[in-house]
Amino acid sequence: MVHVDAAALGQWFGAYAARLELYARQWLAPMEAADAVQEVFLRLAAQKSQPQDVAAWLFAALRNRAISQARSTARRRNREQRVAGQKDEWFAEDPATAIDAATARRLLSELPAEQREVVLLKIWGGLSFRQIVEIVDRPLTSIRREYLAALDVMRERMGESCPKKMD
Amino acid sequence: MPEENGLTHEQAAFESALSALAPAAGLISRDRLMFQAGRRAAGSSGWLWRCATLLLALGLGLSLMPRTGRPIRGNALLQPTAGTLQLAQGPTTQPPRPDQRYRPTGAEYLHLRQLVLQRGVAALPVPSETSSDGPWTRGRPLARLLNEHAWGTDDSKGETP
Repeated sequence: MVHVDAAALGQWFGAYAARLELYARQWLAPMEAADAVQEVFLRLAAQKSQPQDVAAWLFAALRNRAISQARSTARRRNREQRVAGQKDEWFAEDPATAIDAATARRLLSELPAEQREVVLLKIWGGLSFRQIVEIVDRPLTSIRREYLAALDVMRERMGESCPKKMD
Repeated sequence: MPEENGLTHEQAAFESALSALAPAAGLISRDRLMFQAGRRAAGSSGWLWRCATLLLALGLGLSLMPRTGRPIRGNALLQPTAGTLQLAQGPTTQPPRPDQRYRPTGAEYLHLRQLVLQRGVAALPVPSETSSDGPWTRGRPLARLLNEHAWGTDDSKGETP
């Protein structure tokens, strides 16, 4: 039975769907990520009571599902077959931005998984460090350190690849 | 100079540049999500109705069970109960009128059949003196008797008992 009303579900969808899909893309193919996000929203709709922190709940639920799904050998094999025909864009192309979408995608892909996850949650998830602690279950100091290190590494690599743009 | 959240100016500027990038348009559709949510909600209530219907059907089945499965006790069932067996009146050459013929109900017929299967032809009701020329006359084929009394078929066309 649906306990969360449709209007609230629609608002949360509008606010978080794209961010959640981007977050899930680090583990899943585009279609799988979309399915996982939909399933998480449906689970939210079926909750008996609304979570205190809906955003953190959505990201945590999606993380559990996506990691579990990515570990499945069969699904991974299917994913590899399906990915061949899919566009794997993480960001929308926008000529006005200082960093282009493909570069950002490459920089994120080169990060260690823990750092990449924290960056995705912080910048595009719009979450605070305390919310991220609840999701990834690591100490606050560790998360903050990983985030700063990731920014430094990305900025350094960005400067190496296109120094004029960053100057 | 460190920022409030521990970022240097360079880090903050880079973070700002990254955050200017918008996530790609999602593949999930809002309408699809709402449809799925509604379908799941309808599915849960439909499950309740299915359970209620199943319980009602089980209750009805249980209530009908004792009628058909009533045990046979002694000779009490050897004699037809009053009103269950009506012999044809008048000459045997005349076809019995429909309202005078023996028309057992489903339970009565099953009862009589079970009796015959267990005890043989002797279990059939004994004809009375006044009805010796009726449909229970000895020598009448058993199958015909059963057929006639069970289903009340019109067997008077060109035949005499």
